[in-house]
Amino acid sequence: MSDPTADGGSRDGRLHRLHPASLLTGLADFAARWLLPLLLVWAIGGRSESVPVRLLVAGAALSLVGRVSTYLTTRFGIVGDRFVLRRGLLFRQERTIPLESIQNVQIRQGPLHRALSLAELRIDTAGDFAEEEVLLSGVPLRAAIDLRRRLLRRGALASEAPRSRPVLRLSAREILLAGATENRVGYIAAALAGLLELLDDAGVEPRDWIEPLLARLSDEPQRTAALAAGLLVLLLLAAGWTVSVALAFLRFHGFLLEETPRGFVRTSGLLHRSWIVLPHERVQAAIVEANPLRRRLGRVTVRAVTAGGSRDDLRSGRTVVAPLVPEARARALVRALLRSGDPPRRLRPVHPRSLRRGLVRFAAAAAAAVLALYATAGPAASLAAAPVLLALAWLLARARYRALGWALRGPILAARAGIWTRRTFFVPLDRIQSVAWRQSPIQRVQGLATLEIDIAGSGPFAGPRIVDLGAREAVDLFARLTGGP
Amino acid sequence: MTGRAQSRDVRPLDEEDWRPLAPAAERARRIASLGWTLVWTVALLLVDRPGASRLPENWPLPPGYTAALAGMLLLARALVWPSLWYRHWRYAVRARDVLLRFGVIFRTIRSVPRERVQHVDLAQGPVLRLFGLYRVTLYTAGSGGADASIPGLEEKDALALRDELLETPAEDGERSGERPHG
Repeated sequence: MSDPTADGGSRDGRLHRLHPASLLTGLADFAARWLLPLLLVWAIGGRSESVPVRLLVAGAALSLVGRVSTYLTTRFGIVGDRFVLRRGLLFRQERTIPLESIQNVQIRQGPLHRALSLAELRIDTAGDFAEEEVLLSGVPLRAAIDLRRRLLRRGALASEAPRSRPVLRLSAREILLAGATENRVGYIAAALAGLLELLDDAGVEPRDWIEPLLARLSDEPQRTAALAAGLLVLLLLAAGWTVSVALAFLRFHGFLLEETPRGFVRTSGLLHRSWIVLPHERVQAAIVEANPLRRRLGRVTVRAVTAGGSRDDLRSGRTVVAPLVPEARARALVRALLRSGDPPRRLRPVHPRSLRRGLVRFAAAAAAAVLALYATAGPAASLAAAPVLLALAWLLARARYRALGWALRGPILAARAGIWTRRTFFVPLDRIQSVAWRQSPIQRVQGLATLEIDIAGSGPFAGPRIVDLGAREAVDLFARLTGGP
Repeated sequence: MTGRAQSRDVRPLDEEDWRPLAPAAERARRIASLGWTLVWTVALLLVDRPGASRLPENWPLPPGYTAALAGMLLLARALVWPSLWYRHWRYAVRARDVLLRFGVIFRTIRSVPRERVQHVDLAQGPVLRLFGLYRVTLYTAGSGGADASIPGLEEKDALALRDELLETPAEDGERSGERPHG
């Protein structure tokens, strides 16, 4: 295969084009995105003159033109100490990025890319905006790795670097376990809802064939319906489980985490292969999380919170570093990720009055539910439901309180929360951007307060927080985190 | 924090010398609030017109009453709330950080380390411009950075605060965060 951008090409400042075969991957991507919806709409709608169909066709045509023009007009390369990208047919665009403001370079391969030895190269800059990223789809893999080395300039980070050390590999069994211990029933439910919507649009009424089916199965339709509903739930759970196992293999097949002098490199993926680089200086915090099932097995997931525009793993800035590891190994990983000493081992509970606050909150929700039941189903049903709901409120309050915890040991702050998925943040003190002390009216009455820790790369409402500290404890910790010498 | 150990209403740094917002900020807030009250009341009256209400048939109140009631509540809020809001807004500039303290029902004290401030914005809406006030926003690399915003300072204070924050912090000795008399 000819390799116009391979070694040495850009040292003289000449700009490169994309590899011709990238036109093929672009077209395949186009087909994957547009052909199926188009076919579906035609198959079900059949009325090609309706407005949505026309819009869809117009969108597809525009996208096709865009892809071809991107291929034809893209020029890129390193000129002096800048990376230059030119593209655009009607709207010409030239983007210049100083090499020092490049935060990270990621390489990915889809299945077709792999067949053609091409790769997709993404350049992340310091801004948090998706538009500021550069995406080059269709660079020969070797050239991509070489380009990454020159873009990052600060020494070899690629997995072939001599001092790289494998930290974690996942066997098929562990990937299976990772998939089996979560259930993406939500995906299935969403897909099912979409399907019903589609059927409804096509004039097919599911009720029309479900009811006769039920009637034929039994002459007690109500009881059969309940049975069918139970069966449906089981089926949904089984389907969700299957999907999560399949997704685990898609995402984590061949998982390898390596440590290099400058950071971590994560390789993974069955069809789409990705090489994610986590430079040490970009890691803002580590998260250790587990749902109840995984907790029971003593396994956890480790994520790294990173600054800059990494959009992998669907959740921005939270790269999975270890999909599923025993708790003891997670500790070592957190330590290696943060590089600022031992993370706290034992967390302290928050103030005992927090249990009461949780109880107030959940009991209020239970009371609202009972009232709603009273209004809709009458006094008998609400009377029967009240003790069950109150017991549930108590259980939830207890689970909430047990999940809460925090610790400050040396330069690392730990904060834990989460009734279902329990999540522990480990934040090096020098990564804290700002600290907020908050008190709700109920907390004020109970003498509690919450500390919110703002770090770069965590979402606006998903950052580390220490909920329900005693008021004095909160004040002391706030002072330690902000005023201390 | 002396003498308050028994109290449950403990707040960090009670002894800081907190600065209030510009006094005109309260009036500006009230005028903005009254403006929104007017907009919302008109919008509600369009839905719940005395002659032809578009609320559901079984709505418990006669046509027009709902909009009038909501309008009056909004008016009361616009008259009362800005004073409370103003009374609870304080900020303090210390050697290492800027403290913002605000909130009437939900109370917040935020500390923004000065070395984390990436840039500072001054902004004016039409009402603030009327009073010659500025909103000063401190941006950090963190995600909640836009939260750190002081909503009403006079021009000289706003400019002074901006310049103070954009200066490189004093390296040694001077630590005005520790109160000499505290």
